[in-house]
Amino acid sequence: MGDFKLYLDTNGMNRLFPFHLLLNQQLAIEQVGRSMLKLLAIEQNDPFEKHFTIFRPHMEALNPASLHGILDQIFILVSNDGKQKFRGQLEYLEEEKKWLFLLKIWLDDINDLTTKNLTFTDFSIADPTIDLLHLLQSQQNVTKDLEKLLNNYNRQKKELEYLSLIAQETIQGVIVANAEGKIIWINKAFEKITGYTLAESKGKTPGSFLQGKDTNPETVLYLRKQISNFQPFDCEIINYSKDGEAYWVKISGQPIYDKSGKVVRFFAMEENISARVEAEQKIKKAEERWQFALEGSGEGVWEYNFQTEEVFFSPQYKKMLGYEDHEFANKSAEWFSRIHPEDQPLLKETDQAYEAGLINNHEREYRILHKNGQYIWILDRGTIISRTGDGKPKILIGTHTDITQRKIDSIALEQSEKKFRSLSENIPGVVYEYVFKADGTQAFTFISPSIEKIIGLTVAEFRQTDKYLHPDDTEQLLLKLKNTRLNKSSHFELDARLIIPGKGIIWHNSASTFSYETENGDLYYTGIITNITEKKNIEEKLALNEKRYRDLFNYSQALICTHDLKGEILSVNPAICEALGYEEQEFKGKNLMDFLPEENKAIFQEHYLDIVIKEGKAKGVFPIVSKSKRKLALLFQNFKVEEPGSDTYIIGFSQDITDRIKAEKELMLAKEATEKASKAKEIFLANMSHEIRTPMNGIMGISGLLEKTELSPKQKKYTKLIIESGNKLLHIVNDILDITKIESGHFSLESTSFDLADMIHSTLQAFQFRAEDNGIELSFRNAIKKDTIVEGDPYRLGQVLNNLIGNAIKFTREGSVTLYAAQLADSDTMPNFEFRVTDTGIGISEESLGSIFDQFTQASADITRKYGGTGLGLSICKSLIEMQGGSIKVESKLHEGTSFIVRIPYKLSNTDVIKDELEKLGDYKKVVPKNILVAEDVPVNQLIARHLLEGWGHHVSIAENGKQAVQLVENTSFDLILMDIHMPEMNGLDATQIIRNLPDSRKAAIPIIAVTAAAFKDEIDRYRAAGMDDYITKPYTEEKLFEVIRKVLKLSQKEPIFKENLIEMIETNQPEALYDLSGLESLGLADKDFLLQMITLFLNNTSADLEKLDIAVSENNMDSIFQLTHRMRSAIQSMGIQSVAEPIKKIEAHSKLKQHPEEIAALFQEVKKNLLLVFNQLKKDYAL
Amino acid sequence: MYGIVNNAIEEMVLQNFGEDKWAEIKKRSKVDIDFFLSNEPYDDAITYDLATTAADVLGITVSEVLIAFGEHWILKTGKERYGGLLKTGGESLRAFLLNLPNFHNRIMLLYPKLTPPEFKISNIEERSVHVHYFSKREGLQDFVKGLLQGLGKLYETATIITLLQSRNDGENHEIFKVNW
Repeated sequence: MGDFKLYLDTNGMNRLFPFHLLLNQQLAIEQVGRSMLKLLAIEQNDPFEKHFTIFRPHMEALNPASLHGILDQIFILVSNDGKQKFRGQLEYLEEEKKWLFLLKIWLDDINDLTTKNLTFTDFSIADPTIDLLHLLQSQQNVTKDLEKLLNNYNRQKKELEYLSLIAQETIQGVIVANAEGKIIWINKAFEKITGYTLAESKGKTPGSFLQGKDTNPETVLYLRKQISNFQPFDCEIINYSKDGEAYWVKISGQPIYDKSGKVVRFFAMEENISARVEAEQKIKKAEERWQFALEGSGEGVWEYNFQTEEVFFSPQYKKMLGYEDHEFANKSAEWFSRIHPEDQPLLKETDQAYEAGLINNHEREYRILHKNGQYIWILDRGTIISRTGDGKPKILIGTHTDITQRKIDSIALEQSEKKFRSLSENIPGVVYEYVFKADGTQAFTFISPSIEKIIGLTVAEFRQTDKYLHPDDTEQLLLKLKNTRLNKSSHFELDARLIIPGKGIIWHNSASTFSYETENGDLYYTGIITNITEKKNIEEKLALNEKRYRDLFNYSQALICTHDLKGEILSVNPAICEALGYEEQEFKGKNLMDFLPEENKAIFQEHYLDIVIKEGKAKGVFPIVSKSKRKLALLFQNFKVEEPGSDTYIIGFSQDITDRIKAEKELMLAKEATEKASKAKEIFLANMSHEIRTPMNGIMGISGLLEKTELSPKQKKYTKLIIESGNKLLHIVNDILDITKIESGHFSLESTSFDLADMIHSTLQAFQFRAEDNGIELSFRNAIKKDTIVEGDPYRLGQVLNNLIGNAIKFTREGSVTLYAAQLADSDTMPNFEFRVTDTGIGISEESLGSIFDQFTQASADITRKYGGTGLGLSICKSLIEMQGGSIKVESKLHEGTSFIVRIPYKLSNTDVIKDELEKLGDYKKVVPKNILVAEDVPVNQLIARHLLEGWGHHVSIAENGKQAVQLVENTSFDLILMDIHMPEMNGLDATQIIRNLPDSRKAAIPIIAVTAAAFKDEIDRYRAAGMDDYITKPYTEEKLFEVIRKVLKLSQKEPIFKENLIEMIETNQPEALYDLSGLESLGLADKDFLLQMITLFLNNTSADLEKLDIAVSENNMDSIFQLTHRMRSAIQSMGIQSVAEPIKKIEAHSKLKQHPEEIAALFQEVKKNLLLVFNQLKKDYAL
Repeated sequence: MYGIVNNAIEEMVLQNFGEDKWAEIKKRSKVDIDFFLSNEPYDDAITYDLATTAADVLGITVSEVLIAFGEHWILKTGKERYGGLLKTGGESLRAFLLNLPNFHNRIMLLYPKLTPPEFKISNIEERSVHVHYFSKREGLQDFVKGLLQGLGKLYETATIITLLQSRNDGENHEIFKVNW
């Protein structure tokens, strides 16, 4: 190969030698490899010695000459911070006169890479450093594997040694055999048990040298079978040791498999159990002997294993229960089921006691079912014979003995004793025996212990009778004893008192008869002592009662007599004698009937005797004739008395009520007179009402008509005065009528569904003009939800509100009257509604507040003078409210104002009902004229009705009376009849009934409105019953007539004009109205079409003007501003836009004087903002 | 495969499922080798047998075993057995993946008895690359997927791995798209 020059640029150098250094002659660093730079912060021209020290080979001094000396040597550079080590070689570049260090970083550990933050892209691809490190790491991994393997090996070795030791040293013999069953290893214990050494045993099968003559061949067979089938084995067998001695051994073993599942070894353990087997055999023999002995004695033997629940019963046992050996299973559950259910808990209890270690043996008696279906009694005795390692009972043995006969005998004896005991303890007497001895002495020989309970003395105490006997009875006792002794056939009986400490006197009765006589002549008496204290007490009480009864009979004011079932008098008391004037003996042998007046005698049997005998009692009034022939009335109550052992009789108690009857009669007459007077008053009031109302209708109606004619100012004033006076008079009449109705109880309330807010609106409407006339603001603040429909009497609520608002306006000279209405949040179904009428009027003084609701009361005499009124209004209000279940109260301050707070509960009604009704209605004004018949006899009233109705465009016909009305209806077609009630020839009610019965069904159904001066509800009810649809009371106003016709003909409800004049607060957060069209409506221009035209015009013109005004304001053109605002102002006023009225007025004023342009600009913004709101609202409200 | 792979499977099962499960896997797989030497090659069948038996015993799919094993290889075995070496693959996931072919080529020489797969990188974008996986062995795609997921975790980078093509679909190698 030829000599060639290698040229490498910096990149090439960096790829091949990323750790190189290039030094100049001054040994300053000119160029550094890219990876070197990653490790050290070397700047160009840094002296070599600043960063590096040459670690090997050793150099005395670092200069070009010395470097030349080491060109062929490996050398090692160390960075001056000691952190980096490089290995490499040095090359001198002749032409460039530069030193090139070709280096590789030296790493001690693979983790150095991470520390130095090197990745393998920092190495030249040809650089095997990383691979070497990798190999190093692999080597370390192998070492780790080997360490782990070694650890495993050591651990397993230790385990094996440990296991070998256990196998070698255990006391049980261990044999390891090969797959053919030939022994390959035995432990020391095996050598000890068998006497054979490992050398002697090796290669032999265990059976071949251990088994002998007593070895059970079946066990040998079992072992062979298991081994040849490679199965585990477990058995007990007799083996023989080397010296020929037989011993019992328990062998357990199993095959050992290799990983492929092949049997490679057998492992067996042998335990010498000779001692245990011997012991067991001894026990078995002992048990057999014991069982034999027991069964010989006729007892059944059993054994129970607590741990396994195994049970054994001897054949004798089974026989005892009627079974053959094979018929009776050795099963504990089956046996237990034969135990009498009542006795089962006893057995469980015993078992638990054994388990808890509380007992070691037991003896108990219980019933068990015999094969014959009868329960037999057995005596069960048992004891524990062995326990488990932890001391729990294991084997329990015992015997059962049939004790049925003994049990039956013992139960019979027990019952007999019980019976005797019970008898002597429970009979309500003391059994005793008494002896009169032949030697003359006498004593009790037996006293039953019940004496203590019955008399309160012990047997011993009673033997000393003398000590307790009442001194007054001693003599009697001695006498009776003496008589009994003398006459042995006599019966002894004595009632005597004992004085018992703590109990007082006890009466006892002692009765006995002769029982027997002994050979030596002793006489024995047996008897019974009873406590008769209660009986004696009752007898005493009876005697006392008898006396009391006698006294009562004799001294009672009541007339008492007894008679038999025929009426024959048995006894009378002195009171009867006195009342009738007879002596007592005069009644003897007389019949009760004898004292009745002749005319009553005939009915005595049927009306008195039969009843009292049958029903046991009778009451009523007897007319009785006294000795002086005076007729008396006796109020009696007689009873039948039935007593055993005596004849049934009647006892009577009477009272002389002759005077009372007389007084009652007088009272009745007085009451009738009062009622007549009251009725007369009512009729008078009804008539007065009618008589006053009828002419009032004339006065009011004609005045109304008069008012509408052309009148001079004076005439107008007088007409107004007539109307006002008429109204006041009507008001007074109505008040008086209401009070009368309320007092007489004739007042009744209607119940109908109505819209509460609507009702209030129409009430307030009537006051609007009056308030305006008085210069008072009348406002309505409503917090009742829209469309709240309630059930109640709208007219009476209206009356109350009318009264309160009327009063408020009357007593307020300036300021306002406000009606607040709200639903109180107290109940969902029957909420309270609150109506609060508040004024800023004269107020009521504190002393007057208390009596403000009294009749005929006003706050002061001054008031009556100044304001008029009957003083009945508030009293009526209060009554009306309370009748509706509500309340009213008043709060007031003199000179500041008054609030009346009314609360009335109303049942909420279905909103839809009224809505539907409203939806059916049309606009009255658009109704086709109707044919209306007015039946009315008074010409003035005819005139009023005709005028009003014709004024509304209807056709009116007049009938003078009911008869004419019927005729007209028959011949003509009418849409409606206004029917007066009181008419000559035929009244309105009769006429209505005839019309309703007309054959033409259309005519029979003509709506009829009663026109009446009567105002009592029962009368109104009569009208409705006659078939009238509605009524109107005279005098009526135009509005009322209109309203009732509208209602009956189901015409549209007039839009409430009032609505817009008031501040509505239907919802508390409802915004204030932006405009108010009441001005337009007050001009009679409430027609909807007209309104729409007006609004459209306003919207078009005013919005155009607003734009122009905007320009004019911006140009400060005062003339134009003035003209535009002047034009806009009137339109704004007629639309009732309050928010803009004042600012526009100011702009107009300022512009006229050509001043305040800034204020004009500001006011214009306000006008613009508010007008735009109004435009939007109008468009929304009228769907434009 | 080198014993270290089988050791890693054992380690993964022991760590996540306990000794009993490993004993059952060993028993059922009929693998009669108590101890694998890391640097000794073993028959590939042993590894497949362990993986399929593990899936069977653990009640998961072979695919899930291999993915889990791939992750375990990077996050545990790699870290514990090779320490800093793994991180020298690159400073970021992207750098590591770009170095992956070189990295593997180096290893091939270090383990002469290894039949290592070959990797190629293409479609290198700022946030994704295509990893091409060429191997003579069948059925270890999921192991590769697990390895790639493990790398994402090693570099604490959320990754999405999509298999774009596979030998199962008749191609001659697998392509994984690794997004991060």
